[in-house]
Amino acid sequence: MESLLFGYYDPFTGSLIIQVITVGLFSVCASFRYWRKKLTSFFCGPSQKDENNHE
Amino acid sequence: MNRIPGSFRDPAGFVFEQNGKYFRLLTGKGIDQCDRLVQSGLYADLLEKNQILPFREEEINSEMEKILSLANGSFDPQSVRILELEKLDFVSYPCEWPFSLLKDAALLTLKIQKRALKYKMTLKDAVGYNIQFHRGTPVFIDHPSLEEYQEGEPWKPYRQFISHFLGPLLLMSRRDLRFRLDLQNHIEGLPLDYISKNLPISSWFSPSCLLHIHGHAKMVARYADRPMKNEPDYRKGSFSRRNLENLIDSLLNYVESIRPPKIKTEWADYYSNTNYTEGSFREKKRIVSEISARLHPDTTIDLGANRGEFSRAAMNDSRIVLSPDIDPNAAEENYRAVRKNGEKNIYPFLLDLCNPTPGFGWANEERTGILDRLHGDLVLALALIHHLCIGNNVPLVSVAKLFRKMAPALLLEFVPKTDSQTKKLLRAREDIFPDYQLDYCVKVFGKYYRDCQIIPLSESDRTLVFFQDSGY
Repeated sequence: MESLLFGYYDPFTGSLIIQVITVGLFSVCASFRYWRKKLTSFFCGPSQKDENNHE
Repeated sequence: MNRIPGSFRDPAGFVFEQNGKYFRLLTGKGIDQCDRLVQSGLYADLLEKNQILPFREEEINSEMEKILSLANGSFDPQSVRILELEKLDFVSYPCEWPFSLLKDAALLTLKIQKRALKYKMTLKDAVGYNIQFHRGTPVFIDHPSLEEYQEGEPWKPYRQFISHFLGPLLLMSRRDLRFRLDLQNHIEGLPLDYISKNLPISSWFSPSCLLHIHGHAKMVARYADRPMKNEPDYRKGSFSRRNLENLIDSLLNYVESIRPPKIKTEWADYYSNTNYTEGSFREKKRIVSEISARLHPDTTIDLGANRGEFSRAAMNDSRIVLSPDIDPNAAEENYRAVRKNGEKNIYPFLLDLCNPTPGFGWANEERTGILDRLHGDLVLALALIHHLCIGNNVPLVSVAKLFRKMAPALLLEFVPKTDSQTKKLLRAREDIFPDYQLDYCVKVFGKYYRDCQIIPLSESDRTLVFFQDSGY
């Protein structure tokens, strides 16, 4: 039931690097989804889902 | 007053038991963290969702003061705080959990972390032992693990989360459900390189697996011996709260997507292959319900529960029903039924009676063995005795002794050698069990229980025998 913190905290080492990479990739994917949605909406008009959300 | 053996690693406090109640003693930083947890509103939020174990502040009584003074030398009541914790019905460990319970525990940990950020708090550790299955749902029990969040900090228990939750789930999903047993051998979580080496090659083609497990293992190994030059100052870093939320979201999505393997296990389809007629099956259920209704046990232990058919026959008249089985798929089905039906008093978990979870951890006392946690008022040993005595060569007297230690009442289903299931066990081996007979069984068990009632099952060779101590 107790904290096993000691020995698991390793700043500026492997775990932190992976966290930074993960967050970076997540941001890239989120940006990709955002721009894809914008482009699709520009060329093809807003999707049904967007219209429903808007309502 | 008994200090809980597993409660020693956090200097901010420990858990102890007194007169059947459980308390947490907090000192120094632990008191500040507790105050912050309550004042921020996070405790109330999690309590409303049934995600945290309730507690209330307790006054220090004279007995506590005396014992704490003896334990700590000089004792200043102003420097400690005592919280009374809601008593858990049953304590189980991650190595005993079916797949979906471990997954739900992982998801709860992440949801609590995500929720905590809204109140400017964060988890300082993410271990499986911080979660317990309580009244039908996983709850977070380690209140001092929640501390104030500092902007810019990465997620400190990230590696711990991978070792205790994500790694084991992936191994169970992609390799073998029996990897859960490794959680007993690695109390501090599975090492990252161990997880990486044991995952199949296909896992290298999964971006999430590559990042969280394989890449992570390589990075940790690479930087393990590098000394830290300066004390880190996260305010200068770019790991914002938004980034931390994104990390938690990505982990949440990934854990959600992990499924138990679709493999056939020995006992998962048991009820499709039994030799019961419909009538004898119904009669057996009726007898279980009648005995439970007669005894009104506080705790019923349904050994070899499989999917929990008979646990459910006993649940209305028992405060709680412990429902262990050796088969991971059967326990998984049982747990899913508990979740689906919203049942609050059935506790499915994994147990091999011939090799039960021992005490493990520091001095083999940190985590208590299952036989010390398994105590009740009624044991159901249905369709089990032939597996123990014939399948595993355990003498009847040893079985009787073990069952009696668990509870003063026992409903035993004797499965004779004429039964098709017992014949199956004897098919590939010599019959070296001349004493395996109903009369002898009743005689042996009779040494441990005062009263005995024999209830033959209609349309079956099997016999139910109800034993109890007359004082019960």
